[in-house]
Amino acid sequence: MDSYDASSTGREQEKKDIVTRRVFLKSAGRLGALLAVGSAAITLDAASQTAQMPASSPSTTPATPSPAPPLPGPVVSNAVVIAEKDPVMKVLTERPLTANVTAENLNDAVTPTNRMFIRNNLLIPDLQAAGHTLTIKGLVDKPMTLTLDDLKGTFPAATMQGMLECAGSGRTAFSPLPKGTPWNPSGGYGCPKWTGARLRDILKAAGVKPSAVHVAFFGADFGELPTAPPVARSIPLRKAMEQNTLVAWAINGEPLPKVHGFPLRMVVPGWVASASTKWLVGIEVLDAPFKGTYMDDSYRVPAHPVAPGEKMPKESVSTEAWPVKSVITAPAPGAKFKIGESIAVAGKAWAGENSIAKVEISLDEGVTWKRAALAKPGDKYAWRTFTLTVQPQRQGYGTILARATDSKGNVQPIVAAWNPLGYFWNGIHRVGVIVEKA
Amino acid sequence: MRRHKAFRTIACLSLLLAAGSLLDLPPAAGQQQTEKLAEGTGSDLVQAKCTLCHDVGHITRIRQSRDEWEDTLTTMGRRGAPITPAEKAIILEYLTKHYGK
Repeated sequence: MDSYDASSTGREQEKKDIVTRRVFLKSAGRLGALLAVGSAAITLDAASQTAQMPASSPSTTPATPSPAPPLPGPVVSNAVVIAEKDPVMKVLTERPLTANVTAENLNDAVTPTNRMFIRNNLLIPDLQAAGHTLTIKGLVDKPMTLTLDDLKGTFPAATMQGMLECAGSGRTAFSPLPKGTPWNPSGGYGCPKWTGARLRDILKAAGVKPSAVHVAFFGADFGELPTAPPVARSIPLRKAMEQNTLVAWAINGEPLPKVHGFPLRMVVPGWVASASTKWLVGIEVLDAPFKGTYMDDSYRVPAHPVAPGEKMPKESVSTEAWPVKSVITAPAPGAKFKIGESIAVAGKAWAGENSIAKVEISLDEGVTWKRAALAKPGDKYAWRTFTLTVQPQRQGYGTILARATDSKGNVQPIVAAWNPLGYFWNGIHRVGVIVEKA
Repeated sequence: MRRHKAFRTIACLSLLLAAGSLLDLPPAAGQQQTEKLAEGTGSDLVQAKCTLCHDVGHITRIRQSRDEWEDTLTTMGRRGAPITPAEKAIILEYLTKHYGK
């Protein structure tokens, strides 16, 4: 766990390095490297910009590069990031980079790292483990600056499987479509295993003062523009002290890939993933929620529901834990079956701070429901796998619906409450299949 | 920054063309890449300023009222967008006209 072996990344893909887009991306990455000495930020990313240029744009020959005002540090190109991902990963936006897989590709009990969703607000910093430090300051008795070795040597390592889901996961299911990353209805989420130090152990060592209310996290990422403020947000002290809130250095037993926060990130499981700051360099204990654009302008929902299409009202609240949600990971949309053939329906259910009480399946658009079997509960913030075998009796197009209920009695709605920034889509998931004559 | 961006743009265009000619280039990874801003007064400015950090698709796939676009521009200003008040007015006009509701 202590070694940061870059050669261990991308292994999976080398086996499957088959087609088109990824070959292109890889080649583009190499070409980019050749063309762009000293400018690590040249990426396919920027190519999306050039694609907007009129066809008559002159010059396809790179001019002799003039010294460019440097970014604050090196960045990892989108091409390099995507080359390390599974070919089923779909890029949603290039600037900033966001990507995910659809539900039928998330059937594994533990989300493989190369299928973990990507969502960035800024660029992807190319950090090194050597010399990386984490500073703990603010309302603490003993401010500290820790190296990675300090962190691993001082605090016991904890491993837990935990959900991370972008606040806007499933956004395109909302109508009208709110602004933001166009996550498909099956969303931006995953449930890998994380390893790190418990934040509460670190905070206890630093000595939290009685006036502490929130704990803010700061990442080392930066934008194209020096004027871009850092992505920073805070969480309430009670969540910071929860034993599953980790300062993580590993995912699925391997060092974090650069795009997922190497060498250190927060993992605040069950909550909107913007709380899980990547490229973590600073933790500050505060007497109030952090003030900043990622706290005050986004990641907020109306305090009281608004009609679809309305503006954000004055009264709004910061997004925290996800509500109850489930997705069908098998069968895949469009799968074909014969009448009476057994269909193994499977999926995942999760519920933020709560646990899953039951999952039900409907083959008749919600008129009747059958209870699915739930796998044994795992870690507190891990999703639960559900399964049910069904035999379709009617020929033609049919749908499978899944509906989860949590330990507090909250049930997934048919349609999630519309909100101006399109957060917390947890409407019932629905998969269409084709049933043919036996 | 302008020269930096110009260099990147040129380098990447050639990169795209080079790769495209060597390989059977599939549709772009992000669908937004193929989207274009509607032509009209202010489109150049929107292209120059907004695509510093965003795909064009972030704009073209949504519809917002003038009020909402203004809020969006204010937020982007807080996130470091290099837009003068005069430019903001032009951009707001453009977005409201072409991507309003």
